[in-house]
Amino acid sequence: MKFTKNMLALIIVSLLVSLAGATLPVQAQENTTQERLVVFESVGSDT
Amino acid sequence: MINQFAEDYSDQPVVFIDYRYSMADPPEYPTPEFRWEIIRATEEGLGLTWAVVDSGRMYNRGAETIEEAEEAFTEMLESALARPAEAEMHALWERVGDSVNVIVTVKNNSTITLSLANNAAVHAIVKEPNTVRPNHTTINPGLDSGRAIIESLAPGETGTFSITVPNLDPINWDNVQVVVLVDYQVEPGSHYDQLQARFASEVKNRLYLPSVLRP
Repeated sequence: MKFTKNMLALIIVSLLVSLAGATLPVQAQENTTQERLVVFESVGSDT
Repeated sequence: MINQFAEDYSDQPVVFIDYRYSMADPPEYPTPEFRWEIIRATEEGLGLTWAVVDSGRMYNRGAETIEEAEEAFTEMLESALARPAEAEMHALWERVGDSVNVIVTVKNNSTITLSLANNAAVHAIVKEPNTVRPNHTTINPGLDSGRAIIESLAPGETGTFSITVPNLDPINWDNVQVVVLVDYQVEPGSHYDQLQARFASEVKNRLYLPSVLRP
């Protein structure tokens, strides 16, 4: 019985840790400035 | 020479796009209208090759020598790379027949209100890299572009825009890329400036959510 409870607790803790792990990088991304993409446009002559 | 620049800057966040221009009178084909309008705002008259970064904040027209062009293009690229993004963009595109549909979100992180008053718009440019096409002078041909006019987007606001670019004829659809950008005219009669640009991600297998999960 005690073993079952421990297993249940372990599963819950694992779930919480994985959820936290999944959430933190997203929060970190939101705080990161997006890299600038430079667009070089040219118009050439066909002759 | 621009092909060499594209290779030299391939490890940097730079995208090269080349448009064709017909010297015939009347023209044998159009230059993508919305981008040509912005490039032409840099200076009156005509002189090719005409190159711009940041939608015309810096440009060079009709360089006489290769050395002159190399110096000018390097200065333009390095200057543009040194600037921070002033908007955050996310974009998806989907092919529908010979058209491309694009949906773009823009968060204005600048201090400028984007609006009809400064001709602000979101542009979607369709290109087919590493392709040799008639009348294009580089291997990064821009096929065509579309735009969505921004009526009003104040600093800090986010807007969503949809753009369709029709009648496309790439050699291979698998190579097609879509670049989105947001720009505005600095002042009436003057050049434009660009806040940010991004590659749009292609949507190939659209996921249809059950009605209970739709927003």
